Amino acid sequence: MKKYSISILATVIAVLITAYFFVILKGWSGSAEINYDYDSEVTTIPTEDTAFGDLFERHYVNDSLPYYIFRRMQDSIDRIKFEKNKGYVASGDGIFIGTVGFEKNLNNDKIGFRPEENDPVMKKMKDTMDNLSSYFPGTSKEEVDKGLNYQRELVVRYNERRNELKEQYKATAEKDYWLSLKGYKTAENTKFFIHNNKYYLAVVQWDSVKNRGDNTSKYGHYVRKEISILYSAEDQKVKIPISKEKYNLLKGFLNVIIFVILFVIVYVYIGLPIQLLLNISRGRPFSRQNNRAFKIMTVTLITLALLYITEPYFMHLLYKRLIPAELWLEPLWPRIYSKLYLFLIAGVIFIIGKAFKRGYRLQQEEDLTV
Amino acid sequence: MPIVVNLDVMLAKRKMTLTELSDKVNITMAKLSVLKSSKARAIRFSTLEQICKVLECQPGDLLEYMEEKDYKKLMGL
Repeated sequence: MKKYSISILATVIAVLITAYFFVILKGWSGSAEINYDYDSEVTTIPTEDTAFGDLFERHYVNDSLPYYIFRRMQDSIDRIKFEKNKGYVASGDGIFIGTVGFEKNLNNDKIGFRPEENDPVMKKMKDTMDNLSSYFPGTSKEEVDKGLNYQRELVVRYNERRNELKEQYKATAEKDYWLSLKGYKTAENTKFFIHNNKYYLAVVQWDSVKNRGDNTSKYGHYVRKEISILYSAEDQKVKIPISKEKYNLLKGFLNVIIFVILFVIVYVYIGLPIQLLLNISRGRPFSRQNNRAFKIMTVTLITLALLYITEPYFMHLLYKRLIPAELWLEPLWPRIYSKLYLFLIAGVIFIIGKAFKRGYRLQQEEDLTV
Repeated sequence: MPIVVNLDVMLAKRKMTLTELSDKVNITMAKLSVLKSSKARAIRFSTLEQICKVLECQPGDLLEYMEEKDYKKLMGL
């Protein structure tokens, strides 16, 4: 009968963890109720933002339109907004590890580069295309086909030339270098914008709050706050300007770290398990080497999980001086929950390792028993 | 563990080599060496019985308890 009895310790742990998650779930439904109450609050975000070049203006799109037309109009408005901030919010070439990365993109002044406006070859090609009829005046089918083929060929060459010049320009033009930190959020009514190559946050300042029964109405206006970093709400990242030398140095350093981490991961989670399986198949399951392998796997997994979790907070501490309070990192708990499975796997490996350690001791005893 | 195995003394008394003992008790040389050098953690009653039978002695003739400091001195620890 005892064979089928449930472990008391495992039961106690299961009950405690279930209770914990139950409380969390109850908490979530509780917060949903709070949100419901919050619905009664009327928040009037200021629409008058001419000071920011209509960047945040809420364009009215008739939502009774067929969905695809509505979506198209909405997208084109979003594109216009994006264009106004182009280059800066768009990701550049870069390298990331976790939430930290280094990026470079064309300097703001150089973004609107149009090779067709300056290149004489392209100008000539365009002239030819515009006046194609004067080069192929004939009206016969053969002449028309010849003209069309020539036009097609010219378009291809024209595009190739433009891409070639753009690539050349990209390679030589002045660039901006950034240290990028991901995972930053901001309030919906706080906006980032650029004006005269300076970075600003538009923050709502509430002028009045009126309570009418259950309803609360807020009225306010935007104020600008100059900051020294760039923020991309789309990618939820802040970009801190750094010098080219610093960029090259730190990127090199990051490359080394990536290589080391990759090596460690491959060694620990591919090399060691293979070695372990070989030892077991050779009839040496309980050896010092296998014990060591389990220990390394557990410690590495926990270290990597902790590094992943703490990395953004550590970087935030380093650059706290530059990052305004309006931009905040996601809370710690969701980050821990997202990597909870790593801790669970580490726990399982630890338990298996303990069993192997015990086996190793028994093996030693057996070897030294005459 | 301050238990000393006096196997070498008994072997000398019986003028027997470890190889001969190994053949007679059917235990490997390696295992007997571990026992002789007092590195063994445990000894089976069956092994003790066989050794006592071959060497015509008592378990007490083979095993001796020592004080910790004397044991360490003897073992060079």
